[in-house]
Amino acid sequence: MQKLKEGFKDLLKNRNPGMLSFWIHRVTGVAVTIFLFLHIFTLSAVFRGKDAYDYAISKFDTKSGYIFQYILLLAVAVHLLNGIRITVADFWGLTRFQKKLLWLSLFAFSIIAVVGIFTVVL
Amino acid sequence: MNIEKQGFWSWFLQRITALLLVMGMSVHFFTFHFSPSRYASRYYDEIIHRFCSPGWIAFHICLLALVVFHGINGLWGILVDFNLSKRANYFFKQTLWFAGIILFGVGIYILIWFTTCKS
Repeated sequence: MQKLKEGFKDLLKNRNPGMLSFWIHRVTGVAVTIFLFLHIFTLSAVFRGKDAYDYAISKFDTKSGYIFQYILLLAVAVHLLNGIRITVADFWGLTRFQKKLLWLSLFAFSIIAVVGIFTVVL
Repeated sequence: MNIEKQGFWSWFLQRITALLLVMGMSVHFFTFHFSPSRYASRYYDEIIHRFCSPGWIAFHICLLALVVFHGINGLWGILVDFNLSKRANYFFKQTLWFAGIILFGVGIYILIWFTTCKS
């Protein structure tokens, strides 16, 4: 817990895009992993038959379900794009361009966020 | 040192699985969240008719393995950063292994169930 507090202090002291993206990457990573358990749990309704499965899935076909899916899409998209940025910087020695890559990934993220409103929420 | 080697493989495989997941998750998200047939594709009958071919099952097994490894290894990476005691490290490592195996096992069982219990 002490380490977590120190981490938050670091974030507050070093308010730069790199530190923020580091935290966002970790938080979205943990959130998506937790969702993975929920996802498998939902799909496991198939063990109780077709009707139980369709009923479990229909819970996500509501207005709040669509908003939940949209938030999930944003979490996955931000984690994925930032992950690509980190991997590209790591493997191809582009650490000098990591800030530019961050803005590029934010641009791609905003496109996904806008498209997602039309395909997931509406 | 053995620890350094383990750290390297954890880091390296996290990157490799991430790159593979970019492709896998893109297919998954397009099929179930973006495509015109996305609503129907999530329900039982449609899954039986469209997603029980050997190709789709193989795709989902790979996707499941990648996502479970990436998620569990990611959590392990975060825990390592906390510099926990040897005992706590051991406890969390075993817990994550257990959670990963359960998650993968149940996921595989769901896929087998879909392929064997056709309507």
